[in-house]
Amino acid sequence: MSWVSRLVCSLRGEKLDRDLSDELAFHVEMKTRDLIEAGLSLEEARRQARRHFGNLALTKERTRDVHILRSLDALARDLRFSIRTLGRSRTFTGVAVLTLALGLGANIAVFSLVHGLLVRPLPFPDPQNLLLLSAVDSKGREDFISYTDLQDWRRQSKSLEHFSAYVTQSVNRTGEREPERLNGAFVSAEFFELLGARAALGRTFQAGDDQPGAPPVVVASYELWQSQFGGAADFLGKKLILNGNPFTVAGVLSAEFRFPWSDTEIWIPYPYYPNYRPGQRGGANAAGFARVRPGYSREQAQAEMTTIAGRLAAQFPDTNRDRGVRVCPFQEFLVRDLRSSVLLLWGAILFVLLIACANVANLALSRILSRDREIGIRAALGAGRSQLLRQLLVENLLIAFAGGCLGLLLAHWGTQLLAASQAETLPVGTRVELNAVSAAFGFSLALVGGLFCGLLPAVHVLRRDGAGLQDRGRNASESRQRGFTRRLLVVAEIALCLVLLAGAGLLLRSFARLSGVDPGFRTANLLTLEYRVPRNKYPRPQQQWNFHWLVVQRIRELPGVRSASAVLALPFSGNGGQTTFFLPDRPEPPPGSELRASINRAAPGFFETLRIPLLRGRFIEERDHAAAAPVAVVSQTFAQRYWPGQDPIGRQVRLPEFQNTAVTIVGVAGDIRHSHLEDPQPVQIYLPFAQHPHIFSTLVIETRSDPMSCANAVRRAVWSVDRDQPVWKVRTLESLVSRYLAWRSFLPRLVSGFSAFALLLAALGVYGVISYSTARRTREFGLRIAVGAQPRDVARLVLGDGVRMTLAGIALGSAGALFLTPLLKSQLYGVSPSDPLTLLTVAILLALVALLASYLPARRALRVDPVTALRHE
Amino acid sequence: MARQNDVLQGTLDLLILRTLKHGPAHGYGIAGRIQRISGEALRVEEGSLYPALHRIEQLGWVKSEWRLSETNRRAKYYCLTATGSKQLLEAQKHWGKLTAAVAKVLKFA
Repeated sequence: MSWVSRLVCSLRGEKLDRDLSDELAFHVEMKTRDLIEAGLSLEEARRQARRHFGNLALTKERTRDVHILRSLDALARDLRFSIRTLGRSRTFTGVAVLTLALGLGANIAVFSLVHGLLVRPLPFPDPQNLLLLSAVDSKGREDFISYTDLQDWRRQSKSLEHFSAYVTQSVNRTGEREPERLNGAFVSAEFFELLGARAALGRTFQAGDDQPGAPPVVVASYELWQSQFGGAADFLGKKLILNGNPFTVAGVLSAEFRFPWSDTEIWIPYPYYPNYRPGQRGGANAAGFARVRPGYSREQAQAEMTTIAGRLAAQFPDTNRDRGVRVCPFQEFLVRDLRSSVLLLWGAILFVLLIACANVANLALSRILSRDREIGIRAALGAGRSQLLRQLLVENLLIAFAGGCLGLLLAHWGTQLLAASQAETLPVGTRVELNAVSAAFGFSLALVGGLFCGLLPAVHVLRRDGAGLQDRGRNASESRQRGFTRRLLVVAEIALCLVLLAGAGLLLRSFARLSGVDPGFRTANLLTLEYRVPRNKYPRPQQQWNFHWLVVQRIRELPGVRSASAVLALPFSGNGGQTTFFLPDRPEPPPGSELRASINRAAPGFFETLRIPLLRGRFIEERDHAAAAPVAVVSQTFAQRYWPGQDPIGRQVRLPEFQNTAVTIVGVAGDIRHSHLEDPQPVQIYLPFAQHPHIFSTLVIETRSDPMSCANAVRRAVWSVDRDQPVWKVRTLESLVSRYLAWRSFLPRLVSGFSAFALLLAALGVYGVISYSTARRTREFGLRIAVGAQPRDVARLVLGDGVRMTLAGIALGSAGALFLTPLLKSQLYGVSPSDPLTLLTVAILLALVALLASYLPARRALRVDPVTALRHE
Repeated sequence: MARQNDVLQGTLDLLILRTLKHGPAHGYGIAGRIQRISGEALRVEEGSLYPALHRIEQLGWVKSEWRLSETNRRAKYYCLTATGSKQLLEAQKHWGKLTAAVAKVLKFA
């Protein structure tokens, strides 16, 4: 029985068992028969036969053991032998294991990211039925929902339940020594039930907590309870003054509940949200959730919600016209932006693994070739082909296993690094960690890799005919065949490397373009901070504006300050808004295709502080106060788009969301990038802050020296106006832009790192093949030199080999790159995926590296001494 | 010197192989034949016979096949392979040398 059938045997253990039982049963039967013939009765004969046979079960076991022992025995022998041989060739083992470990480790780390982000369900009960509700307009653009609408939906919907809304905002907490700011979330009563949140102390919200007239309660986070209130038991029932109103603590959430942000500290019933007006439908700013009721499907829910939205649109045409509803699985929504970049990353790292495997396969092949004699001897001594193959397989799997273990260790660090560096961008609840799934993936990958790497040497062993000792170097055709496989591998490596390099090059170039984009304002020496005044302390808009303006003036008096102003939404702060507008001097667009622009409110001095250029007219000044004529400043793109070649000064813009005021344009400012550096068409409108006050304000302060050194002085200036006013997000504008760039640099940096590693591997591959073939051809070179060839000619031979491989690889790789790089399109800015300059540059880089790798062995060929070479026989 | 177990094992293998030289047989038949030919002197324990049969089958010295027995029942028949015949010759030679050596020692020790 060959080892194949033995393997099959142990796999088909059941059949073996049955056969064995049959065989032994037959024996017993025959014995019984003989005893009956000898004169005994049936039962007596049977009993004796059984007894004579002895312990049937034991016999069965011992026979079974024979099968297992043989296989295990053979395996143990192969393992011992493999460990010995691998231990002898330490360089090979070390390089192979390390290469595989790096390739595998990186793959496992990225897989953990992919798994944690895209595959693993959210830490909420029944996550696939958790839906995000968003409002959509006729063009399909998504928007937040309105709380009032949500209540109608709750009343009218049959297919969804637990309708909840939430919005996050900073909350002022006063009543202690210093006013402070808490990260707050305003949520509806069913919010916690929907997400399956449990309380560690007290209770979460229940139905009725968000009704008018209900006692004001809040729920705190576990973290807040422990860090700020020392985990004291009397926290329950404590009175907190938030946004000027008293609340009672009804409960503390369990430690693992972190929603909507990992740093949300306090949850307050939605009606207390400062921007909320009961019954108001416009000005939507909440995120909505619901769960699909059992017995209904998501499609049914979507259809029902569309109907309900249509009903509301007919009922309230002013606010709800063209506002549909879209339901989307929450997990999908969370990962939407990240999915493509994470998958790209995974593709890149798989390439690296392929290159690593090709390298190790090459190494294994050359090792087998050098062990030719040994294999020949073993074959002569009676080792069958299957035995040799089995031992080879064990050896390669051993290397793969070692590589896998080391790779797992590397992946552990890699995963931690990934998780830490991307903590802000990853959605909350994503756990990127090494777990059973990624370990299983890693070992499967190692197994496949090991089998692949062992494939070529196995083919070589199989092709050896006969057990005779192979004469080294004599059989020219066979060595050429072997050489072809190895060269093919290297060509493949170079091709893969080129694709990877092309991707990295494009991403780097795109990032460089992005970093060079002028945001349109100055970023140096600018301090910013935000705050929100409590509405009950400053109920009238005029009071709010007076507060903000007084603060600005106090700050302007500080010695370290050059200029200061205030704005509603600071660029790159994550704040910002859009509005529809109409132009009275032309016909109204049909409903559903109204014009939209970004809108902001700026105090006098804003543009000057941020050094935004004035292109026409004037900026917002102190004369644009509440009693003066309503004016606005627009961006250059706005002016050029709607009044091309004309003067927009004096024209009017009607803003339906701002009491339908018609503002007069008094100035044109330079374009700025507000939230993304890639923003192509900044259509912006600035209204005077004094004419449209708000409780929220962002201060912008130009300092004479390091901005953060003025932070305390600025804080005190605010407190000099109101001692109980907390401020937050004290930082420089420069840091905001850098943070944005850092976030965008993640993918380019990683892919570049991978490509550098791939380049190294490919270079090693080229070097390996060339130096090996050079070593084997020493005799040939000696001959050539002896018959009159110059050392130069020999070197050219060697180099020519390398050049051919490189050119083939680059040609193949370029085709592959042109085919694959369009996948990068969504990540690129200002660079086309088939950018010829980038492709050319990386091709030249790769060619130079590969040529260098072939040059080094070529130099050795130069130094061949013909005498020693000929004697090398 | 080989271990006690190995000598016994080798001896049993030899007996089985020799028995099968006459022709294919099932396990019961092999045991019976050994018993008969040795004049009831050698009784092979079934607990040793079947493990041995399976072991030498794995080694490739015999191969097995399910057939209908003389009593019209399904039984596993073993027969000698070419390798097995070679092995039989080797084992017989070895056995001869072993017994000669033991005899010498007994005479002169």
